[in-house]
Parts: sequence; C-alpha cells; structure tokens
Amino acid sequence: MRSSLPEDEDRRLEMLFRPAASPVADDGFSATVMRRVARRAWHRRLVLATAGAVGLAIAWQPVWNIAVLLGQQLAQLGSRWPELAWVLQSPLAIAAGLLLIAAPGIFRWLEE
Amino acid sequence: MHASDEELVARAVTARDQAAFGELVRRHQSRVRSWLRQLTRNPATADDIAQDTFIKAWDKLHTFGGQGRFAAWLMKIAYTEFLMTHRKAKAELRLADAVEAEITEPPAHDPSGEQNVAADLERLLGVLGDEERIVMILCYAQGQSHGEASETLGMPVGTIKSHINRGKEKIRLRFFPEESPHA
Repeated sequence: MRSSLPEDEDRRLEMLFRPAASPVADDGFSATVMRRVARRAWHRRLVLATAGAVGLAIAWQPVWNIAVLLGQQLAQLGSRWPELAWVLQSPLAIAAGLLLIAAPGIFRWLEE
Repeated sequence: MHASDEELVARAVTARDQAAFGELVRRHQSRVRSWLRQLTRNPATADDIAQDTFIKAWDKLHTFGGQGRFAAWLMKIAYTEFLMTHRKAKAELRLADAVEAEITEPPAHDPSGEQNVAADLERLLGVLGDEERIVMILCYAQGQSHGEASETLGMPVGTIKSHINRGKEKIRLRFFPEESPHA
C-alpha cells in the first residue's frame, strides 16, 4: 500500500519506530535508584552536620569574644530586668543566642 | 487516587518526599531506559545513565517549573547525561557503530515492503544519521512533539523538522523508492 499522504507516512513511521520504545521491565531498577536517593540524602545530612560542627568550632572563639563584650553592655540592662539578669550577664547564653539567630542563614548557605 | 506527575513533583519538592519521587521513577523508568538504550545501544550503559538521570532529577526537581510535561523534562536530563557520558567514553559509546558496520552493504529492496521493514528496526535506524535517528526516535517512538524534542535536544524547532524531513527522505529512498521524488 502506498502512503503518499503526509499523515499516512507519519502513521507508518510511528508503526516502524514503535519497537524503539518497547517497554522495559523495572526489574529492581526503581528500588536501586531510590536506595541511591536515600543514601544521598543521608550523606547530605552528614556533610551538613559535619560542616555545621566545623563552622561552630571555627566561629566559637570570635562569637565568645563578642558575647563577652555584649555581656558587659547588657549587664547595665540587667539591673532593669532582674529576672533576665542571669541571661544578660552570661556570655555562654549570649553566644548561643547569636549562633541560634545566625543558624538558619548558615544552614541555608551550606545547603546551597 | 492516582496523583498526577505535577502533584508528585510538588510533594517531592516541598516535603522532600522520597515515596512521591519513587512513584515518578516507577512511572518513567521504562521510557527513559528505552530511550537511552536506543542512544547507547548498550542496555547496561543505558541503565547506568538512567540511574544518574533520576539522581540528577531528584537534585534538580525544584527547577522543574511545570512548563511542559515532566516526561519531556526528564528526557532532557537523560540526553544531557548521555552526552556527558558519551564525551567521557567516546571509545566505548560510539553511536550506532555496530549498526553502521552492518549496513556497509546496502540492503536489497524488499518488494513485500512495510512488514519486513517494521520487523527490522535496526536496518531502519541504520540508514539514518545520528541526529536524524535521535530526533525520529523521540518524535515517532517516544511520542514527543517537535517543540518537546526541541527542548529535550536543545535544538531549534526548524532543525528538528529538517532532521525529520531528511530522515523521512532517506527511509523513502532506501525502503520505499517508488514514493521518493528523488528516486
């Protein structure tokens, strides 16, 4: 049968090329991919946590110094709010607070 | 309930839902693997590239904007991965070397026509150049539109059409010479 019409030719080509898209059985392929995805996610979290810990170790000393300076300034405020005095005069609490504030930004940056 | 690809992508992106992504992998693995098998002519290599394709898709899922079909987006990643692998290992991944070797002698025209040609896809692909074959498989086997094929392969639509026209003409000349105006 001749197929001189373009639509006929397209249909014929679809038929001829059909075997090129024959279905491929999964045979554990998807499970392998998902294992790799899970491993990758775990690896990513590990890298992120390690990077966070290293960053914390590096940042701790400068943050501590800032916290001590801030603590001295805030000590004056402590007299106004006696119930907050222990927080405002504790460099550890201030350093932790500073890192807590910066943490989301740092983690986003590390993730990117 | 059967979630659409777009719904699954949204779940995978917002909640990093691996189950949703797993469903996408199960849905599209056959299409991606058969496409890569045609490109590499080697099932094992094709499956390795297919795995890398899905891993990259997982990493870049947030960049799928929802324009066009998810399948076409995936095929584009698969093609990029194929090209990267192909460049790295040209010696092992020569496109259709085997096929070209097989057709050094032109096949005799079979008067019984279409059925024999359909049965021998390798012979059919053998008459086409690399790009014509890739474009024609995408459009006629994978069912992509010219626009989608253009996106997948990073070629202008006009180039896609040119490859298809050239491919058609080669097939006509080889297998249906009576239909070719250049016969």
